Amino acid sequence: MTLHFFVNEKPIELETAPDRRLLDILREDLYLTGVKEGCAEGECGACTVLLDDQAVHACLTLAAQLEGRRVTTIEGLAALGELDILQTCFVEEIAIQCGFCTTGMIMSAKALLLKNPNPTESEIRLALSGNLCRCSGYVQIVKAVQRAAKELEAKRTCGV
Amino acid sequence: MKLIGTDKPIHDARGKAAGFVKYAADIMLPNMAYVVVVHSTIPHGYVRQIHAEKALALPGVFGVFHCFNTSERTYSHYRSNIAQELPDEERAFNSYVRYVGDRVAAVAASNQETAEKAARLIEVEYEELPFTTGFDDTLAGQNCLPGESPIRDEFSFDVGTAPEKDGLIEVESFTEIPRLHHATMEPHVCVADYDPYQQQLTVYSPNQTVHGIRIVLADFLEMPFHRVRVVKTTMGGSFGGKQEWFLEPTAALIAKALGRPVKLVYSRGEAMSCTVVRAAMRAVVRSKFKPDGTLVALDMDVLLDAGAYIGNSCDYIRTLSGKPFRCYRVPYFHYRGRVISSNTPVSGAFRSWSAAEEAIMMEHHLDQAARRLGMGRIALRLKNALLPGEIDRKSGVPLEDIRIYEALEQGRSAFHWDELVEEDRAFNTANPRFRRGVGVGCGGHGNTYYPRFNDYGEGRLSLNEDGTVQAALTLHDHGCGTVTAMQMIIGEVLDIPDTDVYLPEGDTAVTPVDYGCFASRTTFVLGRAAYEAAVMLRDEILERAAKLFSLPQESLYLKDSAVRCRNDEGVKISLAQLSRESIVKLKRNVSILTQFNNTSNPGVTGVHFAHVEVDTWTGFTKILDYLAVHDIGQPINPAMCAAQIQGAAQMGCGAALREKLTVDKNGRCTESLSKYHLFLATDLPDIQVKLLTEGRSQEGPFGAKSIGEVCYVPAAPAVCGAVNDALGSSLETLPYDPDCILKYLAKEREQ
Amino acid sequence: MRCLTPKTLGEMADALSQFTDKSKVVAGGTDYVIQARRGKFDPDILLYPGLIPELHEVRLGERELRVGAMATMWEITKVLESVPAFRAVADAASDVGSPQIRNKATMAGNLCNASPAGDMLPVSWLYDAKLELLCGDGSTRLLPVDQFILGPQKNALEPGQAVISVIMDQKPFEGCVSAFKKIGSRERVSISREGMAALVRMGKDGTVEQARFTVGAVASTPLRVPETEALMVGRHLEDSDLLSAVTKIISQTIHDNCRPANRLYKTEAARGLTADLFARLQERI
Repeated sequence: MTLHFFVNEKPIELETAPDRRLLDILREDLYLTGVKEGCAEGECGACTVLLDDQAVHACLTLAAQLEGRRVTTIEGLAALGELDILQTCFVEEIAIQCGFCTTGMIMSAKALLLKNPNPTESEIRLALSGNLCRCSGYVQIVKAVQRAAKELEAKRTCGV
Repeated sequence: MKLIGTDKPIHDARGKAAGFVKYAADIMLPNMAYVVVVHSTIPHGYVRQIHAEKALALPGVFGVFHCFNTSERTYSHYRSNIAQELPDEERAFNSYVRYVGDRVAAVAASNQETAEKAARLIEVEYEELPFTTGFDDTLAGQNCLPGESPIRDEFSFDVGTAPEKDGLIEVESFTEIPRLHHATMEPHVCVADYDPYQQQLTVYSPNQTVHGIRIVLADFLEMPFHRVRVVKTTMGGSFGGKQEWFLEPTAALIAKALGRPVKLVYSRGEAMSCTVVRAAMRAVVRSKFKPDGTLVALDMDVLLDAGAYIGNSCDYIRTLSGKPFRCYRVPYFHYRGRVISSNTPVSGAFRSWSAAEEAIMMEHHLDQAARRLGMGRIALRLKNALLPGEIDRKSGVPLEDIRIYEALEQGRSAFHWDELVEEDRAFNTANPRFRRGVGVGCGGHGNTYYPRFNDYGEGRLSLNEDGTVQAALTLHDHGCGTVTAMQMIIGEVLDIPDTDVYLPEGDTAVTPVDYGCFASRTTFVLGRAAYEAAVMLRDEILERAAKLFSLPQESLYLKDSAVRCRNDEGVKISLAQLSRESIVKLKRNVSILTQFNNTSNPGVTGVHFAHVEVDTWTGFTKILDYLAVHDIGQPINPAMCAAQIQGAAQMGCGAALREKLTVDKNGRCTESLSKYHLFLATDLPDIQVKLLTEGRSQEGPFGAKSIGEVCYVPAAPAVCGAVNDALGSSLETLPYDPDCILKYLAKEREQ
Repeated sequence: MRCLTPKTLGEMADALSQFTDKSKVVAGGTDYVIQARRGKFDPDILLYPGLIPELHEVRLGERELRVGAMATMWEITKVLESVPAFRAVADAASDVGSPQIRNKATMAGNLCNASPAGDMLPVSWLYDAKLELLCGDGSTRLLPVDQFILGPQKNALEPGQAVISVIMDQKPFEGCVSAFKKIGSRERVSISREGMAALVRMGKDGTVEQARFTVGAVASTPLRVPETEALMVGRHLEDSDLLSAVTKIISQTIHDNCRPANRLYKTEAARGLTADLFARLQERI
C-alpha cells in the first residue's frame, strides 16, 4: 500500500506492506532509531510514540492504521543537538541510567503533559505505568516530570 | 573537592534523552545479514536430522547453519578471563540439546522478516530423552545419562571450630527461591563483521567484558587475539545478564562463514529463556545462639539448580559461602553446596553474584531466630553485625571501616522503626482486612575480585594539544555512570572539568586488557587506576613545566586547567600551552601509563527497611515506605549512587513479591513480560536513600567503595521480612505473591 | 496482502463483500499484532475501519448507549466515567492494560477477541449488550453478546461480517449505579484473573430495588449470579451480613466454575474483590 502520514510534522509517503509495524517503519525506513524495541508485545513501553498526540506502542501499530495521522517520535521534540524542557529535566534530575526506556518514558510523559499540564504525582505515576524501567525506582523519573510540568507552567504564565 | 561528591548525569544522558545514542540493535552496516536462531523445542535429547531445504529455497536467505554443518569445537559461555579452569560444554549449535531454547540452527537472510520466516521453515527431528524441570525429579536422577550423577558438584568446608557448649538455642529455617529474569530493557544483541582479506573479526555487543569475549572467540574460531576486535556498545542494562556469551560466538561464526556483517537480535522471549537466569535454589540454614542473641554457629546447606549447563554454578555456589562473613560475626561456619542440572534455562550471573540469594536465606533465618530468642530483629542484627576493624573470617581480608552497625542504628531512627512497630500494632488490631508490618534486611558485598584473583587495573592518559585529556581504561558502563565517575576522578586530580576528559569504553583495539566490569570492581579498582594515572599525569605535567619554563617543580601545582606556581602568582601556563611546547620543544607529547595492583577488599554494606501493607483478602502487598542506608565510603557521584540504589529497591521488591520465571511441565519457560511482572511506577513509594560516607576505604579512589551490587542485596530480605511481620508468618518460598499469601492464610484458618 | 481503509459504512460493506475466510478486520491492533506475529493468521485482506468517523463515537442516546467499534478505551472512559448507570463500563475500560493500550484498544476488539479474561466481557454481560454487525451486502444485524461470544477466542462472526458497534439499552438501567473491579497479578497493567461487575437501583428507603451481578475471568464466559442478585434486593448495601452472604455465593460460584489450578486463589480473593466492588457501589449512590 502507499501510505501517507506525518512524522514529526513532515509529510511522508511510503510504499509499505499494510501489516508492517510502525516500529519498523520508523527504525528501518526512516532511521529514527530513538524508538526502541524491548518486547514487541506492548508490555515494556520502550517503543512509545505519539499518534495524534496520544501515547501508543509503535510495536502494536500497523501501517494500515496510519493513513493521514500524525506520529511524533523522540526525535521530533527538539531540533538536532538540542533538548526540550522535558528532556532537559530528565537529564538534570538524574532520571537517565541505561537510557533504553528513556525515550519511551519521555514520550509517555509528553502525552500526559499535553492532556494534563498540572498532573499530581499519582497521575504521573499512572501515566508512566506502561513504561518499564529496570535501572531505577522511578523516583527520579517522576521528579523529572514534576519539574518539567512546573517549568512549562512558568513558561506559559510569563512567556505569553 | 570540586568534582568528587557532586551530582552529575551520566555522560551520555543528553544523547539518550534525545534518542540519538546508538545501541547495538541500531547499528546498520552495508550488506548486513540478519540472523535468527532456531532453538530446541524439546527439553532433552539428540538432534537426529535437520531439514533446511525449504528455508534455503526462500529468496533472500544466505545460509542455514546448524549442528551438522558447523564446527564441533566447544566453548564455555561463562569464560571471561584467561585464568579460569572450566569445562567447554557447548557448541555454536548443539546436537545434544539440554533445554527448550538450546541453539540448534540459525538462518542468515537479507532482512529480519525473511530470516524469521525461513527459521520457521526449518524442520528438526529429535530423539527425546527423559527430562527434569524441578529439584526433586533432578535430584532423583531422572534426566541422567548412563554414568551421570544427579549431583554435578558438591563442596563443603568449615570455618572455626564447632561449639560444644550446652545451653545454646538452635534455630532452623528453610528457603526456596525461584529463577529470575534480569529484565534489562534492551534484549541481547550482537553485530559481527568479518574481513576475509585481513582475516579480521569485529564484534559489537553490549557486554561486561570485551577481553573476556575475545578469549572465547579467538579460541572458538581458532584465530589470533589481535585479529579479534570486540567493542562494547551502549548498554541498555545488564545486571549480570550480559556477561555470558550466547550470541557472540554464533554471530561471529556466521559472519566469518559469510564474509559479511551480521546482526543477531534476541526477542524478549529469547532473552528470557535462551540466555541466563538467576538460578533456583533451596537452602536449609541452622544456627546456634547464646540466649543474649550472640551467634555461635551457622550451618548452611544450599542446593542450586544450574539449569541445562553448569556454566558458573560451581563458582557461584562457592562464592555464596563467603557472603555471611561480609556482614556478620560468625565464629563457626559449616557449609555444604550442591549443584544439580535440570533441563531448564541456563543459570548465570545475576546482580550481586549470590550475595542477594545468601541474604534472603540469612535474613529470613535471623527473623526466625529473633522470634525464638524473643529479641527485636534489629537488636539481634546489631548484636552480630561486624564492627570497624574486624576481618572477613573466611578470606582473612580486613573489612576496614565497615559501617553496618551504624547503618542499622541510623536507619532504625531515620525510618522511625520503633514508632512504626507501635503504629502497626494498633493498626492491625483495629483492621480486619489489612495488616501492616516492617522489615529489615542487611547485606554485604565486595569491591573487587581480591583475594580470589589479584585484581589490577591499567590506565593510560595523554594530554591533547588543546589541554584536554585522552584516557584509556577498559570500562563497560552498564548505565550507572562509570564513565562519568572516571571523568570526575581524573578531573579532580588534574583540576580540569570532568567533561575535558575523553574516555572511550571497552574496545580490545583501543583499551587495555582487563577483567571486565563485574564484581563491583569498576569504581574501586579501575577508579583507583584512573586516580593513579591522573596523579602520574599531573606529575608528568609539572615535570615538563619545570623543565620548559625553568621553574622549581616542588612549587608547581595544577589549578583550573593551568600550571601555577606557589612562589609566583604571575605564573599561569595553560595545559594547552604546556602540551604544545612539550611536543615542539621537548619532542614528546605528555602521556603516561600506569597499572594498579589491588590488595584489599573492605566491607561494603547496606541496610534496607520496608514498611508494607498486606491485603489479607486479596493477597496483594503494597510497599508503604522504603529506606535504603548504605555504607558507601566517599561517593564519587552521589546522585547516580542514589539512582542505582532506588533501582535495586525496585528489583528487590520484584524478587520478594512477584518475580518468578516458571518452567511448565514440558520444559517451556515463561517467555513474556505479560507473565513476568516487574514493578511499575504505580507500585512503588518514594524510595528514600541515605548514604553513610564516613567509612572510607583505604584503596578506593578518594576512599570510595562499591555500590552497584551491594544495594540489591538487602532489598528482597527487607520486603520479605515486612510481609512476615505483618502476617506473623514465616513464608519459605519466594516470591510472596498473592497466591502464596492467600494459600498461607487459608491454611492458617483451617488450623 | 491488500489493505482496505473504507471511509464510510457503505465502503466498509463493499470491503467486507470481498472478504474470504482468511480476511481480517483490525481495530486497535493491540491483540491482533501479537497474534499475527505468532503466525496465528496471515490475512489476504486487512480491513482497517478507523477512517469511518461514526465508528469512533461513544453516544449516550435516550434509548441506548452506542459504543462505536473504533472508540478507544480512553475515549470510552472519558464519556462514561460521569454516567452512573454505565460507570462499570468506564471502570473496566480504564483498567485495561497500560495507558498506551487504552489509547488504541477498543471494546469491540476486546469482545471479538473473546478472551475469557477480557475486561469488557463481564460488563457486556451485565447490560445484556448487543453487537451490531455489518454484512457485505450492507445489511446490519444485532446479536446478544452471549450469542456472539461462543467460547475462549471464539466469536460468532462469519466471513464478511464485522462489528460496528456495541449497544446497551439505556431504559432498563435508568437511575442505576454500577461498578466494575478486577484483580490481576499486579495492581495495574495486568490481565484479569477475576473481574466483577455489579449494577444496582436503590429504592427511596435506601435498600436495593434491582441488582445485577456478573463475574468474569473465571469460566470461559462471564457468569451472571442470580442468587446474589435476589439476595441483594431489599437490603442495604452497607449491611455487612449482606456482603458476607454475597461473598459466600460468589466464592461458591467461582469454586464450581474455575480450573482447579486457580481455584484456591480465585475463591479466596473473591472476598476482597466483592468487598471492593460493594465499596465502589456505596461511594456512587
